[in-house]
This record gives sequence, structure tokens and C-alpha cells, in this order.
Amino acid sequence: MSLAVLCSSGWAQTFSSAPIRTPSAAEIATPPMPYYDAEQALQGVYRHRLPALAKAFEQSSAQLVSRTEAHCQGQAPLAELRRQWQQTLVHWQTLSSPELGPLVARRSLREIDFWPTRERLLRQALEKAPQTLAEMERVGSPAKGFPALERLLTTGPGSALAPATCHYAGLVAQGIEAEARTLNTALAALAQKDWSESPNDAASAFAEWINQWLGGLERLRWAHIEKPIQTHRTTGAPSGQPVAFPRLTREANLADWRAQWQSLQAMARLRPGQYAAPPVPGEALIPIEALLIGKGQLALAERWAQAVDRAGADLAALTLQSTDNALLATSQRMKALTVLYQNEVAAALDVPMGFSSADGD
Amino acid sequence: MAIELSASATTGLSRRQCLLAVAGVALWPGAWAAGPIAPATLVAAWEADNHYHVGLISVAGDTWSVQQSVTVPTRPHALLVEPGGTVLAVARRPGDWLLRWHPGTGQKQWHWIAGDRRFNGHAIASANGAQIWTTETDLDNAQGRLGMRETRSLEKISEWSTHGMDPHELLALPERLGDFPAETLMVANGGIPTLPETGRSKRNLERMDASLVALNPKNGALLGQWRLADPFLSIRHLAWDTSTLRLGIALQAEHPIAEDRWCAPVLAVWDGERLTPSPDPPDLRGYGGAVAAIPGGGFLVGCPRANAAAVFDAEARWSRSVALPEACAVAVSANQWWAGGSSGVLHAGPGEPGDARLAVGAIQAPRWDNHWQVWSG
Repeated sequence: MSLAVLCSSGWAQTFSSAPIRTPSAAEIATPPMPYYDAEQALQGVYRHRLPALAKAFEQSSAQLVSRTEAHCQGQAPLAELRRQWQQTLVHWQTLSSPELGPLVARRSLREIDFWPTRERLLRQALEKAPQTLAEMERVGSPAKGFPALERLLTTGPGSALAPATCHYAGLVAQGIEAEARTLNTALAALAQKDWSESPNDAASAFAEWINQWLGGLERLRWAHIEKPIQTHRTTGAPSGQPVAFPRLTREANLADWRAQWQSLQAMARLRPGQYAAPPVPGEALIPIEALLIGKGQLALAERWAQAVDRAGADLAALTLQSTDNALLATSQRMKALTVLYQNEVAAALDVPMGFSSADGD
Repeated sequence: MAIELSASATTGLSRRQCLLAVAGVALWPGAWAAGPIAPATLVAAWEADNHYHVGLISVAGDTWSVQQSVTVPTRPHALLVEPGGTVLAVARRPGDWLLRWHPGTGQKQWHWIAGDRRFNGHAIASANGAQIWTTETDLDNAQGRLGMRETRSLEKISEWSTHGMDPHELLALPERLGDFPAETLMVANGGIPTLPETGRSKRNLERMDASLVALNPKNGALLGQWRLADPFLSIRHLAWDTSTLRLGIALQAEHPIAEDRWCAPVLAVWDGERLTPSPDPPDLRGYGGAVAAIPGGGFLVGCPRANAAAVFDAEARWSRSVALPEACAVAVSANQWWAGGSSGVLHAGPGEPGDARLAVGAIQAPRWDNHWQVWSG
């Protein structure tokens, strides 16, 4: 068994994508789900969800830096560094799906996960051989971040990085860690925010959350899964040439997609036990399904839960051998979720973004 | 039969300033004064059953139907009918693709936008047919770009700044207007700040900066730029009135207070010197989704939030609205007009607006996108 497969299965133990059973209407009805307001929903996201994820990402990125240094000193094999890269990527995707608050303001995704990497810029950056993080600021995003680091770790010759490449890889890892540290600090501060004291901030942040959840779904569905296949099929790519998904190996892509989905799902669906013990305002993440039920939208909540579960089941069924057609079928399932969300769910949460709501085109 | 409504009746709102324009004249322009309603074929885009489509629909009498269509991966927006019987469809912003579709043969040519750009939903062809122009956004800084592309390959030849954010529809002047020669490129900079990370979400609306710009088609030089006094009016869609030599500009209001938004103008006109919003605008919920020029002068604007298609004269004075739920897409020919809504296709030729007919389909009307074109292929 390859190291990559081991890595993937190890990840799967931590982030199970098994679908949640859809509750019956009776289960939904008793006990009654409380009505949650926007401030409580934001408290759930910013106090009980994102800080822990940001902390985990920072810790993992610190390990990425230390593993890179160890490899450069001949004390860690390249495979170990690749494994750490993937673990850190999973923590990043868990935090950034969807991008919220400081991730949006800082444009963190562009800063540390710019894709596709521009080979020419990466070569130029390696030739310039920056020595410090300050010098790395003059290197463009397309030659930094997770995708550039993966390229360095995956496509080079031999079982160890050359010293110059290793030094550059270390700086890229340090850049990821610096962003992770800044995000952790910013999100720790937001965890203390009393949203009820600033209704305008709360309204804006709630709308951002609802909008960005869809943005996260579309990044996964379209940008990461379907678009690479459609592009490959419609641009006359030579047969045998692999589809250019964001990550270089199917293992990494699968782990990435599942991490994104897991995080989106956590914000979308109640956990099974929460029908009997609804999330307590101020003490837990309040997922979108709970918001719908709390607003009396029982039928919509049930359809929402079923649509989320269908998409989750499709994603969970993907394997390293899944064909492009299977991926497109999964994307189609997710597109149904997109349509339901933008046409009905968001409107029910008073954040209209529907196809016909004339939202600015 | 369509129902003609005043603005206040259309929306149920009765604000003093919105009522000023209700007593408009009720006559269609003379060019639509006689003749039967003929069957027609339109190019349209829509969403149905969780899929997005571009296709041809036929409208005849009381029915409409899909003649043929292709599925596209994301939501389409503008449609350009090209010589040679092809349709160029543009992905809605932030969009990835162009699709050239030949309904006669079924052939498809895809083009995917490169690197750090996204399509903003609209394209036009140059007068000599050699180039396609597309409005785009630079993802690095969210600034508007005008892409010049080789018609056959759709590959980008060059690009210029649109001198604003959120560029949307564009139009090449078909004839000289004042200081601006024929083929001058007019671009609607919507002016709404967005970020690639937040897709279509509007951010920092207090920083809106919508403008209409005139660009030299040879080198992209800025020939003129006009702004409306109201900074919350987004300048989005364009139509050229050959009768009066006016550019009609459909507007979308972004005022933070709903009542300000509802009564904001949905149309402005540019006469080569001044950009003038509709005087005493009625309540059309401040949202013009599409605009077409009316033969004989004036403009037809689809107003989905007001559930109406609204008629304006060439000075942007509102004259009447025709009720149609979620009316948005509009198309006009020499002697007919069409409007798409959630109940079907409203169409009329000649005569009074009361003569308009609602064509319904065998299936429920899909969710039409904003723009239609008349198909003559």
C-alpha cells in the first residue's frame, strides 16, 4: 500500500463523511427547536466553530514548518513532509470552507492557496532565491502557498529536495504558518465579540455567512470538481492527459474535497442527537437546518436535510478509482443543493439570493 | 390579455413621490401601430430541473415551446447572435466560459477564461466582425477590464481598463453621436465593489462608483466618463435607440433604505453629452433587469421586482407598465416585442398594450435569465 493511500485512510478516520440519517417530521417536531436569531447564529460560528479550527490550523502549519526544516537537515524523509503538507491542507480547508470574517478581509485563500500555480513564476522565484519572509513578499501568490509547495514536494527528482528548493519550500511553509497565526489571533478576538451590541455588524456578518456557505459549496462543486473535468473535455486535451484538479494526486484531492464538505456539512446539518437536545444558544454551533426549523420551516428543513445527505453520500462514496463521470454525478447532486439553497433556503433565512430575485445582473 | 397597470398598483406601494408619474400616456409608439402578431423564435437562457440551458424558444399565439437547447455548466447570461447562425453565450459573472453554439448543426465551441480574470456576463462583436469584446474583472484587484478577442478562436488579443469596477453590458455606437464616432465602445461600469472571495456578494456599497464610459475601440483610450448624481444607482444594461439617437441605460438601485430603492429610477438616457436619469420615476422597485429600444423611439425595461415591463420615452419619462410576474428578459423587433416572466412569455405586436398576449408552455415557465435575442437564423 502506498504512503499516499495510508495518508488518505488516516485522514478518513478523523473526518468521516458518513451521511447523517434524515430525521422524520415527527422527530423534528419534538421537542420544539427554539427560534435562533442572527446574533446567536454568529456566536455559534465565531465562538464555537472557527476558533478551534483556526487553532488546529496554526498548530498544523507550525508542524509543517518544523517538518520542512527537518527534511532540509536530512532528518525527515520527503514522504513525511508530504504527509504533513496534506494534513495541514485538510486543516486549512476545514477552516476555510466557507471563508468568513478575517479570511475574507485578508483574502487568505488568495494568499496561501492560489491555484493554479504558475510554473514560470515559481521558476523565477526559485532563481531569485529569497532568503527571508520579508523577501517572499515580493513573490506573487501564484508561486506560494499550498499548491506551489505541493508542486515542490511532488514533482522534483529524487527522494529529497535540493538545498535551494528546500530553503524556498521552508519559506513557503513559514508564509502559511504566518497566515495561520494571524487568522488564529483574529478569530480568537472575534470569539469575544458580543454581536447583539452591533446590529449592523451582525446583519452584515450573518448575510456573509449565508452567502459564503454557498460560495464554499460552489468552490468545491464547480471550481474544484466539475470545472477541471469540463475544461479538460472541451479544450481538446490529449487523451491520457490527466484532468488538472487543484491537487496533484487523487489522494490529495479526495482528502481536500472531503475536508471542505465536512466543514460545510457541519454548518448545514444538525447532528442526530441534536433533534432531542437542540443546540443551546450561545453554547454551540447552530447549523442552517436548526435555523430553518426554528423559523417553522419544517418541510423546507426536511428537504434541505435530505439534499445535504444525498450530496454527502455521493462524496463519501468516491474512491481513488472513481471515474470522471462519477465525479460529475456527484457535482450534479451538489448542484441540486446549490439551487435549493439559493432559491429557497437563503430566502427563508431572509438573505435572498434566488435565481429570479434580481440580485444584480 | 395583459393588464396595464400604474406603478403603485403594480407594487402595492403608494408613496407620494412615486405617484407623480402614474398618469402617463397610454399609447404605443407609432411603429407598432398595425399588423398581426407573427410567430417568432427567440434565443434565451434559463434554469430548469437543476440545469442551466441556452436554447431557441418559439412563441406563437398562446403558446411557447423549446425548439432546441444545450445544457451549460453554470448560469448563462448574455446571448449574442452571430453571423453564420451561431449563438455566443456568456457565463454569468463571475463567469468562466464562453460557448459558441450552432443550433443548425449542434456544434459547440467552448472557451475558458485564463488565469486571473472572470467574465462579467456580456459580449459584443465589432462592426467588422473581426473581434469579440467581453467585459471582465481582474481577480487581483477587482478592477474592470475590457477583453478584445479574436472572433474565430475567442482567444484574447488585448485588454484595457474600463476605468471602473464591475463592468457589465457594453455596446458599440452604431453611428456618430456628438463628439463620439461610430464604433465608440460604451461600457456600463456597475460600480458595485465585490471580491473574488465573495463572488456576487456586494461589499462596501457606500463605496459604489458606477459610471458610463466611452472608449476608443482602437486603443482603449478613455474618451469620456459620466456618473449619475445618485451614487447608489448601478449602471448595468444598454440599448441604442436608432430613432432618437439616445443610449438607454437600465439601472439597479442599491440604496440602503428600501423606500429609497423602490422609487429610484430604473432608466437613464445618454445623448452624447449628458447622462440623465428618469424624471419623477414611478415605483418600479428600483430594478431594471434588461432594456431594449422601441421602434419609433423610447425603451422597454424589464422590472422583475415590480412584476412589470415598463415603457419609457426617449427622454426616460415613464409612460406605462404592463403587468407580468418576474418580468425581466425583453426583446424587440421592428414590429413586435416580447417579455419573459414566471407565468410565460408576454408578446405583442402592433396596437395597444391591451393587445398583448401571454403565451404559456406545456411545462411551467422556467426561470428565465435576463436577456433574450430575436433569432433569424
